[in-house]
Amino acid sequence: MSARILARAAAAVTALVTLSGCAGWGFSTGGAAGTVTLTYALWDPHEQIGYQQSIDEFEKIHPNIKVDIENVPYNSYEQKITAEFITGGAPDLFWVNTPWLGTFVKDGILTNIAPLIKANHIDMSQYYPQLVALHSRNGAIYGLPKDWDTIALYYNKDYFKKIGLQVPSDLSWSADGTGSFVSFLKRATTDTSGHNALSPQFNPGKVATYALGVYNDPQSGWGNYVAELGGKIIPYPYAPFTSMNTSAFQQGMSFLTGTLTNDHVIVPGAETGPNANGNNLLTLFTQGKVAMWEAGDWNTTTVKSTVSFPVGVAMLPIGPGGRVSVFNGLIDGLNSHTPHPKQAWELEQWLGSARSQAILGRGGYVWPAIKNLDPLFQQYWQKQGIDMSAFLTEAQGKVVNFPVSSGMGAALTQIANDLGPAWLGSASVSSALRQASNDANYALKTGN
Amino acid sequence: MASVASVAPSATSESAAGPRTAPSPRRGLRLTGYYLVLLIIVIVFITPYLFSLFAAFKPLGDILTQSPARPPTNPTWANFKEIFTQYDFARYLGNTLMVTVILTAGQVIFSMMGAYAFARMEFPGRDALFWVYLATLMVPNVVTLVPMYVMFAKAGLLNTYWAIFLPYTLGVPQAVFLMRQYFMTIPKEVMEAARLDGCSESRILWRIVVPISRPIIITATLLAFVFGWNNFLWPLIVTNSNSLNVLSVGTANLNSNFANQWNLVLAASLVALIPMVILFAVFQKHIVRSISLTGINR
Repeated sequence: MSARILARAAAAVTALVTLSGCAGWGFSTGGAAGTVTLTYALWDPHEQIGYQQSIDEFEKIHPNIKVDIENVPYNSYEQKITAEFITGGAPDLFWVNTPWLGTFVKDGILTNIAPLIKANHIDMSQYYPQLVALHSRNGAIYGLPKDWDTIALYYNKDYFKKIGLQVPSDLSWSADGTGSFVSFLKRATTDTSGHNALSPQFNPGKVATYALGVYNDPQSGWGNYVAELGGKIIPYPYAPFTSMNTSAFQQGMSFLTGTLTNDHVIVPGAETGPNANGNNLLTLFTQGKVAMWEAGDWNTTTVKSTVSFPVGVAMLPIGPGGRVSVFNGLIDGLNSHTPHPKQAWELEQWLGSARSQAILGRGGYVWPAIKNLDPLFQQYWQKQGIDMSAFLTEAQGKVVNFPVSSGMGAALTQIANDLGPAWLGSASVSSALRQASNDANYALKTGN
Repeated sequence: MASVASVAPSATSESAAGPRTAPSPRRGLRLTGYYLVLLIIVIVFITPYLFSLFAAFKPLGDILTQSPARPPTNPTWANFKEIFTQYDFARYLGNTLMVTVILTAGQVIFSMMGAYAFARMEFPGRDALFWVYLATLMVPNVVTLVPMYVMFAKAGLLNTYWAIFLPYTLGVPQAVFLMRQYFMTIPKEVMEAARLDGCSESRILWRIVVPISRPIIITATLLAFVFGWNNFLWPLIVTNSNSLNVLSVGTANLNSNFANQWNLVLAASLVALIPMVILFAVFQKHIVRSISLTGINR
């Protein structure tokens, strides 16, 4: 290693460093011409592409603001954001999913933007009212709505064509197992010799295709059935305790883990993933082993890019209390400790504006939170061959908001853990619910 | 990663060196047995790479529905195109290269200086200091992870390039130990002669010790480079912005709870793997020796 080699290595490093730009070296804070770099945290790699397009536009309009996206995988998102607030360097603006909203509010890391909304005359009536309500508390508003989601049933059009079955839009169920939904599922479940579950020759040990895949999830899974029976995880927003010891929970859970499971028309809990968490359902759906997959609209990009058959979307079945979908949506949280509150608010306003939401809607990334932009999203997917109107119809119908409370993230994790045994058949619904309720109450009481 | 490729060639070359004369039937039988065992080991090691190679050229749907052992029916570059056009992997590649080069250069140079001092300079408490320094090898990485993170946070260096390479740049015990042992084998008389001629310590290091110690320096360089290239946990923890992502972190971020893009993950892994394979092909001898010299394969 002579001096010449060293000099060459040094030159190479200098070249690389220059190429990488200055931002990553911590030199440019408040540097040239007052340019500010904001960090924007999100977790979805698909939507990231759409948001980058929107941010490119934003940077054109605001030449003095640069936006750096921070993609944090969803499973570590809450912890990572919290840790960044503790050590410093938290993102200036960040996606907030509703399970964490209450805790973030309690921790004081979200700015109440209600005064800013007023000062800038932002018309909140352009958004879905339940979305605004979801993120408000006692007059405070914690972010402009970006998008919304409901839950419906993706189905394999080829399969239903093959078995000669139409998917009706008015299937109904009741807690005692009667109703058109169950008999439809039976007809749509086939074994390896082609007999459906209504046939006496049906072999439940050799099911080739289950009619339905539902998983252990309060939003995408059982939450909708419980809601259709009038059940709520917490009695009112920000309640420090659950209301799960009701017949709605008992009946809704029993319908899925008892009736449908015993009829062999739903994928057995153990096959959907660890603790019935649904990890395998997309794979099973892609392989044609599940005919209908109950899931939220944010999966559409994944579904489209994964499956090789045409996909339809059916509405949830109608329960005793009507058709009710769990409704949720995201906001951009404005860091209450950001050194650049003005610029971050500019970005928040942009992402909440019709111009940005039209970019995301038109590209098929999310349902825009601004009501009259929804057709853009629908048209995109129409062109891709997927009719998304089921999600929209549900959003305009009866919905139940995602539960908001301090400690909800931990409470929901606890609930899923405790209900797992009921899905796997190793515990009764009532004992699993009791356990879930106790543990969730503890999480909500401590509030973290 | 070096372990995988290195096992097979070194093992086969040894057993292949034996039979020059015509083998007796019994011997032939035994050899067949050996080769069979070796073949099984090779298959065990190669299979995951082969599966990833296939999958990198398949659309996601095919990955989920087909057997992983099946070669792609319609091989596609779409996955590679997507990671470079939609996800900025060119930048991640550049980041990784830059950070790894700095880390390697620093680690080799500073370890060399440290090793020289420990091996051939006289000062009180030298050996005690060396053993204390070496003892830090015994402390698992995870133990120092949190204190290091706090240090970088207090220094205001989180989410910068500095944070990614600094901890490994000022020398690491493994490299210092490796080089010290090698430097000890250089006869003292050589350096004493140089000193008598009025050579400074730094000149002795650069003009005498370094040229003699080429093999060990190359070994240390390779170890540092492979480590820097593959490092995952530390960059993941100290950086947040996507513009600072290294390949390993960028690849992990392709998988979210709501989007398991195995096709992209495996394409990205292949991109990260290729430079390592080239490195191995070029420095094959040195890598095999580095493992036999150190017994370490990080």
